[in-house]
Order: sequence, then C-alpha cells, then structure tokens
Amino acid sequence: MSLEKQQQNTLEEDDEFEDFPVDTWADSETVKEAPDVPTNLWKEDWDDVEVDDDFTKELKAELEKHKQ
Amino acid sequence: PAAAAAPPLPSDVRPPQVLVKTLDYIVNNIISKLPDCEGFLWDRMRSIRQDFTYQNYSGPEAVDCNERIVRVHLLILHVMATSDVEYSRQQELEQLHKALITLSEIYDEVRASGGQSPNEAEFRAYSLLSRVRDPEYDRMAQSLPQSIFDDDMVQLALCFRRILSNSTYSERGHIKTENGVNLYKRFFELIKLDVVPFLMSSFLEVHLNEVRFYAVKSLSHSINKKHKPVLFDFLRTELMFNNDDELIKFCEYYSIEQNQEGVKLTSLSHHSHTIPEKSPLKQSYLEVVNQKLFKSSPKELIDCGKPNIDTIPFSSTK
Amino acid sequence: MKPVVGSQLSQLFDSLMTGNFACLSVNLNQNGRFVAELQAELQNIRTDKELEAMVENQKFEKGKWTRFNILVVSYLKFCQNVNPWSVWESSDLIFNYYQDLTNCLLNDSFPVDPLVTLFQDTTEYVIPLARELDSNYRELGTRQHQFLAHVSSVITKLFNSIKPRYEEPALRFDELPRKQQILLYTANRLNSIYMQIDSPASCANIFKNVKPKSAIQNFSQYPGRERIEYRYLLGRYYMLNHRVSNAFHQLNSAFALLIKCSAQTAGNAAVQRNKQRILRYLLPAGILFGKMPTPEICQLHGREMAQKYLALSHIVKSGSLHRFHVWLAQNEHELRRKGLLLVLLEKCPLLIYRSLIRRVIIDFCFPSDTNKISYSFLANGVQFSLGSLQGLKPIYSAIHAPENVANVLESLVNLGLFKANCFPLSEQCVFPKTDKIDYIFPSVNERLVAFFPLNSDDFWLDN
Repeated sequence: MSLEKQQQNTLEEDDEFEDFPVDTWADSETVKEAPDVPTNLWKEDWDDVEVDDDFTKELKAELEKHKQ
Repeated sequence: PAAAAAPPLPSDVRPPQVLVKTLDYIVNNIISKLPDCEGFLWDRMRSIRQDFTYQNYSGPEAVDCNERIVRVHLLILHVMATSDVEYSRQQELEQLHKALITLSEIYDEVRASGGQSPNEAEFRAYSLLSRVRDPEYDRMAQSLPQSIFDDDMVQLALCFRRILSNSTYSERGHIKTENGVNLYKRFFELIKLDVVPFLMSSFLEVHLNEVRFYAVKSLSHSINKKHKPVLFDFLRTELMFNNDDELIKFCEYYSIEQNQEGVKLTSLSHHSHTIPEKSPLKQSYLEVVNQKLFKSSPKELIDCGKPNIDTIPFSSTK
Repeated sequence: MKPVVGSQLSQLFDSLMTGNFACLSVNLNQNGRFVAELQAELQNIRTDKELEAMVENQKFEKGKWTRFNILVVSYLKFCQNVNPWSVWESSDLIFNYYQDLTNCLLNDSFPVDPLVTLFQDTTEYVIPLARELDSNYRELGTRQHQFLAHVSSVITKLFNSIKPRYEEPALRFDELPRKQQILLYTANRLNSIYMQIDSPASCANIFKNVKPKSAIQNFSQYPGRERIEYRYLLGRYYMLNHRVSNAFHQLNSAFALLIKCSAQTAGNAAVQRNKQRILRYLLPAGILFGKMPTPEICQLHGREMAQKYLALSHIVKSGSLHRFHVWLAQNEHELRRKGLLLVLLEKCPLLIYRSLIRRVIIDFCFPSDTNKISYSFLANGVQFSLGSLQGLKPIYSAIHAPENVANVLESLVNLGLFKANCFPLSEQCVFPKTDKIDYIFPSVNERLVAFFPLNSDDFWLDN
C-alpha cells in the first residue's frame, strides 16, 4: 500500500455516495425540490392495471375446480 | 446494590476452571430442585457470569458457561410459568438477555480471528427471539455466515419473528411498522411441532399472553360490531388455552365480557397488551410444551452442546 | 541553540501568518512535492522539543492558540517522518494530524473558519485511507473497523462543537459561519461511516441533532449534493428500521433531487452510480409502500437490479407466494448483504395476499354477484399460490400456509386494506355489495400513510 496510490486502489464501497458534478444552478436557493420530477418512476395507482399472467390464469382454473 | 459495591479482591474471583466446576455442580445437583431453587440459581449464575467479566475472560470456559446458563434460564422460564412459586420473570429475562449479548460478542470475536464456535447457531436463534421486534437483530441475522443463517434453529427463529410481526402491536416506545401480518394461528401450529425444541418453545411462551391478546384484538376489530359472542370452545382451541379456567382469567384481566353463550369479543377496549395500572398477567405455558420437557432430563437439556475448546485455529491465536 | 529555519519552512510559516492553510495538507497527491522538500529540511532537527520551540517562536495568533501550534507541529512531524511507500507506517502520523486539526476547530473563540476547508479536504483524504487500512485488519492485527471508528470519533467532536444559535435569527447559507455551513457535510460523513462500520444505530443521534444545530433558514439552502446524500442516508436508516413509509419518502425525495440537480450531467458515471445506490433501497421501499415502478424506469436505468424489482412488483401484484419465495431465494445473497431480505420477507406477503384475495373476488364473486367468500375457498387459493415448498428453506416454507387465511383476512381488515367483516365461526368474509373493486380494496399507500404517519421531525427537510 503506497500513500500516493491508495485512493485509486481503494475498493469501491458500493453503498457510499460519491461526489458528483451538480448543475451550476442547483445549489442556489431558488431550486426547491420539484414534486413533478419522479412521476415517471411510479405508477399513479398500481391497481389501475390488472395483471393477467399465467399465474392468474392458472389460479382461476384451479379454483374453478373448488367452486362452491 | 451490586453496582455500587466495590470490585472484588482478585483473590475472591474464581478462575475459569473453577467456574465451570461450579456450574457443573449446579447442573448436576440443583436444577432438579426447580421451581423452589429459582432465586438461588439466579444468584449463582449471575455471580459466575460476573466472575468472568471481572477477569475479562472470554475463552472457551466462558462460552461454555454462558451457553449453559442461557439454557438454564430458558428451562426456568417454562418451569416457573407452570408453578405457583413466586419469582421475578423480568429479572430472569434480563440475565438471559445479558448472557446472550456476551455470547454474541464472543462469537463475533472468535469469527474475527478465523474461528467458529460450535454452538453459535443455537444461541443466535435465542438472541433473535430475545428482542423479537427489534430490526437491529434482523440486521445481525443477515450478516451471519451462510451456514449459521441456514441452520434450522436460526431459520425457525426468523420465521417466528415474521409470524409475530403484527402491525397492531402497541407498547410504549414501540414504533409500529407497515404490513405486519398477525399470524397467531401459525404461532400455535409451529410451537406444537417437534422441530421446535423444548428450550426454544419455552422462550416463545414468554410471548403467549401477548399473542393471545393481539389475536383477540385482531378478531375483535375485524368482526361486525353486532357479532354474537364466540363459544369458549372456539377461543380455547384457537388460542390453545390449557382449559376454560385460563381463558376466563385471561378475559377477566382484559375486561372482556363473557356470558353463558361465550366471549363477547367486541367488548375488548384495550389497545395494548400492557395495562399500566395493573400488574402484568402471570405468564402462561402450553401443555404441548410441557410434554416436550418430559422427553429429557434437565441435565440432558442443559449439557446438550458441543465442547467449545479448539474454536480458534492455533495459527491465529496471539 | 535555535534551530535554523530553512527556506521551505519559512515559506510555510509565511503562508500560515497570512492565513493560507492549504500548505498544511497531508495529501501527497496534491502537496507531495512540498512535503518532500520539508522532509529534507527537517532531517537535521533531532527532537520534538526543537520542533515545538520553533513553532512557538512564530507566535501565531499572538502565541495564544495552543491547539494551532500543536497542529503545525503535528504537520511537521508528518513531513519529517512520512514514508510515502507505506500507508501503514505513516498512519499514526496522519491520524494524529487529523485529530490535531479537528481539535483546532472545536473552540470558536479563535479564527477557525479558514481551517474548515482544510478539514473537509483532509476528511475526504483520511476516510478512504482508513477504509483501506481496515480492509487489512487481520494482517495488521488491528480491530475490525478500528480506523474508520477512530475517524468517526474525531468527526463527532467537531459535530458536537457546532453550536445551535438560539438567540440569533436564522441565516442564509452564504451568510453562515463556515463551521455552520458544513453541518450537513459532517452529519453525512458520520452517518455514512456508521453504516459502513456496522453501527447504524449510532445514526439516530446524528439525525436527531441536525435540526436543533442548524441555523439556516430553509433546508433547501444547503448544497444539493449534501441534501441528496442526507436523505439517502436517512432513507436507508429508516429501511434498516423497517419504517417503510418514511424510507420511501426520504429515498424518493433524494432520487427526485438527484435527477433535478444532474439534468445536465446525467451521463456522468458518478451520477449514474449514485442513482443506482438510491434505487437499490428506493425500489424495495416503494414496492412495500404499495407502489408499482413503471417499466420506463428500467429502460432509463437499465440495470439488472431495476429489472429484478420490476419482476418482484409483478409477483406482488399477481399474488404468487411461490414466485415470491423463489425470487427471494434467488436473490438471497445480495439482499442479505444489503439488509433487505428480511424486511421483504416480512412485509411483502400482506400485499401478495391482498392481490390474491382481490383477484379471487374479481374472478369468482363479481360474476355471481355475491358479496361473501368462504375461508376454505380462499385457502385453496393460498395453497395454489404457495405451490411446491420442496427445496425451499424454512424461512420460505414454514411461515405461510393455507390455514393462515383467517389471520390474513383479519390483518387486512385491521389495517383498512380490505373493507370487510370476518365471521370466524362460519368461516367466511362479507364485503360491501358493489362492483367497484377499488372500494373494497382501497389504495395501499393511502391506507399506509393513514396508519403509519411520516415522522414529523423530518418535515423541515421538505421546506
């Protein structure tokens, strides 16, 4: 381990946040956290889309056998 | 009082080999006298642990003694719940917890120096059950080596933690977390089975009153307000009371109304299993667990572990 | 006999006199040449006493700032003895220097502000160094996490010395004293170290004290990257404590802010990695909070991890316990390392059961216009959902069983996730007569927000 090289050698600690370039205006007070940014990250309501995969089909077929 | 006392003279502290012998004597001659000797055992075991602490010793003898002491405490918990002899459950649990913390620390040290304690999985499992709602223990569990994590005892303890994870649990200082299912039926189903050894079952019985309370709460809040009383038979079976008398005492403690028809679940008004102005309900036990106890002698139960010598590879001892 | 002060030394002392402290850097990548020259000059100084006398003679701050003298001596000792080829041999020198530097910053009655940048730079230098040393603890014979724990104890002293400003009005970020400006920075470094050294419980005290110490008008005035990291760490901390809603709120805010702050640098590798770091915890938190990630996210951040969580969200939505258990088993190693396995094991099933029961009601109750369903019919569904338990570990095979149906229904009703009444004696469930499934099964995250309110101590972070 040499002192000069150690920083490159350091095993990347996966969870540790890294320094990164921030847009120049980003630190100014005018930037409030924008509520509209992550809208594409999550569905508005996850019940809107019904899952229709092989599991739900097989489940239905299986339960047909047990129908009261 | 003990905390204020001056540290003992070095000449009064027993060396490890003597402490092992002392505990041998206790296991061979005293524990058969439970429940009457509970107070004496509590005091002797605490002093054995203290003597190890005073000399800052964490070698194989300390592991061996702490492990056996944990088992004795677990045995005591069940035996005392079945008897009318007065005892302090809280003090038993406190010493048990401390012994488990000591063990966890030593197991970590042994592993850090490249060794492996042979009985670690069993006691990690007990640790997981000693603070059943503390996520810190899940963190610990997830960092255990794969072989320990996969051990049946640890796996069972992890199952019970999920089974008891109900989100309606309410106690001062406890922060409720999301999506906890209250699987009380599964709790009783599993505890019956032989795969859950006696000592673990005994530790789980500590939660018995609370499991029953939250079962009633769960039922009470999910049925129609005008629901008719449920039969004693139903609740006794569902919540595994040993007899109707226990069920009635339980209902009385929580002011749940009963009549000839049965128990009026919707009359439950308490939100927490602890009632501040009342002394706690005496801990219950299960007949099915009692049956497990009869399968082995106390000495067999306590001395069932593997020896702790040679846990640290010779090359890495300093 | 007075030691002779060489040319490099006098240059150093001149700089210090004028308040230029950058020359005190022990980072050889930046200051290596100067350190090497000082090393040569310092070889004829035999004793520490000589060094100390020489520094005292300079009368920095009229000779009253003892801790500053100690820092300069510490720096000179480092220059004198550093071995650039061995971190281990030089570690004592470096960590002593770091401690002495931090000690200078504790007492606000001296002009400490100009040293703050040096403190930050040095902190950035010593943390990776400590981590490197700790990763070799067995060979070195040190304790696990010894160096990082030491660094955290040094930073803690600084954090504790940042005093709240009770009387004075709140200030804008650029009006704050330098020490106040690095409040969030020190909090982040500490919390990050605590996570790394397996001591996340220590974070509680830091999170609790940031607001009382802060003299700023609004949280949003702190630098963007520090706010993002703060919320990232807070979110992870909540996740470790199984507080799903709070974890989701913090991580989601961190992610949104990162996207916003890096709009022009989105392609940057560090930005990309930081996004992955947040998503690693945000995606499971979101799923447990009853949110479905959009497939676009996987295109946007098309790593394996996002795909995996998209798969999990489908499993939760379709109601298959078997696929859920297999998914956990397949990802067990990675999930265990990130501390996510057990929280998912504990908190997904209620949502899976909800999907399953919801599906059965749509398929079997709605067509026949009935508002009742029997436990035994649902138990068949659970049985099918569980599938084969063969080859699964107890944690995947011993918790859930068809007989759980009654308890599951009660739990769903108790948390308001299913509008129904249970009839334990006749073993059936009755729900409102309606053809609107969303009325019977209200939105998960609305119910969760109602039952598990966000921590009000964090509200100031949203301003």
